[in-house]
Amino acid sequence: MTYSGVLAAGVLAVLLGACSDDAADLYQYGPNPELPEPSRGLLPNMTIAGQAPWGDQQPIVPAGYTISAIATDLRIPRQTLILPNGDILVAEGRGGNAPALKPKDIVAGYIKSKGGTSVESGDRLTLLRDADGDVIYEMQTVFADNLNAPYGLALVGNALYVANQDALLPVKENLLRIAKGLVDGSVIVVLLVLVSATLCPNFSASLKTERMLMGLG
Amino acid sequence: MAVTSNHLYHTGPHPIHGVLLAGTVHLFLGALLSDIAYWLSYEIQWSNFASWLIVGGLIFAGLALLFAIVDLFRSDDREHNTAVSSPLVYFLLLLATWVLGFINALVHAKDVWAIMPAALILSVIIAILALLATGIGFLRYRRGGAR
Repeated sequence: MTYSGVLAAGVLAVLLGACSDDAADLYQYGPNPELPEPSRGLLPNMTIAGQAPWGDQQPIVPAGYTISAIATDLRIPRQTLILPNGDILVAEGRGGNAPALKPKDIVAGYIKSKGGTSVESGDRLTLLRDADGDVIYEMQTVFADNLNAPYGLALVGNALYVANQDALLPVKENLLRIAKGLVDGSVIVVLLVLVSATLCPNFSASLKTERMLMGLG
Repeated sequence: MAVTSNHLYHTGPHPIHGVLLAGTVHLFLGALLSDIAYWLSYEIQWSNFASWLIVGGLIFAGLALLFAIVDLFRSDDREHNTAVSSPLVYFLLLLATWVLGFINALVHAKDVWAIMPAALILSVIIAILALLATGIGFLRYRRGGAR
């Protein structure tokens, strides 16, 4: 887009903005989105979404598709990994527990907890298996537990990498045994060390590039 | 000048009241020094220190404020009610300290340098107000105790 084009879009946006303060009128799409100016009063603007159970509700799918839950009673599932044999690993856990550095952190923690689920943090990996291929995952078992808010999952060859939120946990013998029994081939479970409390460390890895990329935040 | 019949009613602030007042000054002064250190060094830990010191100051000033309210209704001392050290002036100074301190706590809740320069300015004003309030509070105490 040329400079004049940008200018025209900006002027148009200003004109539209003058007509109405509705966010829908802002140019929030395309290469040059018209973002609202950052603003901060004494108290941050916030809206805490209320908790609501799923009940019998289900996501709406396109015509010709059906939807049904393949697993229930999970404890805060956050990330999944589909293994080569079709098994699904689910990482469960709430995360958090960052130290309160300011009084604000205590207040904010309370406010944020209002919008969270009351389900207890799982801190585990659950394995779902559909052995007979009927798309019903009849097997649901704990693959590894006593983790600390696992999030990132990656399978490189036969090595499964699990990113905990912050802690270093020793690889347990029984964990390896369970793993070997459940997943085809030999599996090495490696818990990555993250030096600081980070939520949702996610990563991807590849044998071809011999690189592992990790996002922290 | 001396009206001896007053002295039973005018005992001045309670010793605990005095301790709370003195603590208020030190905590808000500590917050001010931390803010100055943050202003000079950009080291964020100083603003964390200031945030906690302000909360401490609010607790001490808030409790002292309760004493000041009681003072407001209890004091029959007409002589001192007309002076600078009247219970009302003392109460209002302490109230202003607390209210500005609370606003300062909210300002300090912003992220990193967003608190500047408001945090530093507020901390200076609050430290001065706290000093004045405490000075007047102890002035009342001294006069009462001198009887």
